[in-house]
Amino acid sequence: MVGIHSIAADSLAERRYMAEGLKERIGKRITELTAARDTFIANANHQAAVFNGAIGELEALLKTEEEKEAPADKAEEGTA
Amino acid sequence: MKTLLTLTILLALTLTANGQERNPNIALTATATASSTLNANFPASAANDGDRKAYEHGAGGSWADGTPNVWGDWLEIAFDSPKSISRVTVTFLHNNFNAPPTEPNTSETCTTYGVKGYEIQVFNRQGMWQTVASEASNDKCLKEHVFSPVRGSKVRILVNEGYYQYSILPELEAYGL
Repeated sequence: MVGIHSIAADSLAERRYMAEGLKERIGKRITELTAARDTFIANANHQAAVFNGAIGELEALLKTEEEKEAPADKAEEGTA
Repeated sequence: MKTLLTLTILLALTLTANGQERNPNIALTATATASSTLNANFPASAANDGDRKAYEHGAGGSWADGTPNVWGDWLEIAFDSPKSISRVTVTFLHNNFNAPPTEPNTSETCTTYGVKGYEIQVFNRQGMWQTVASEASNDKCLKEHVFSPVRGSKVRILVNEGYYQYSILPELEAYGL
């Protein structure tokens, strides 16, 4: 009887030990994934800023070209 | 204790009774250059344009270097003649820089794009870069460094470590006596 009780107690302790280990591994993985997600977001936001800057530059260039063309178009319309 | 008292007096002298700056930010009229730039939209000149908020990050609002994950980047402000400098303020990019612009403050944390380790240096009369302040584990968006006056022709931030892969700096301000 004592032997059976001892085995049961050992088994319980072992299960608790394994559960603790599993919780620790899950916690570590959550930390890793959170860090990876945050890095991804930081990179995405920064890269978006890089693209926005380049797009803004091109839009300004396009506007300048259109403004240059506008008086010429008007002049052409006038002569037609 | 004596140093602390001197620094307190220096700081007090720079403010008028209503808390407004008596001394102007002399970096505004100086020339900014950097060790490298990510591209034309992250120019060195963004760091002395008087805008701490850097809402226009990526469109000229802040300086970013061009060597990701390599430290030792610097941003330098050169004066037209030697100045006595006793205070330097640096600001870092908000974690959420896309949000409506806000003035960075000394309690807000900037741990996404901020600079963790850096030195503030003055190019002194001996022609040497003299470190006047340093940080090893900064996590704030605004840092003000007050120190005994040093006369020099240039001031710079030397980045030793950043939270992000690029060194990013919206503003560097320098004040004299």
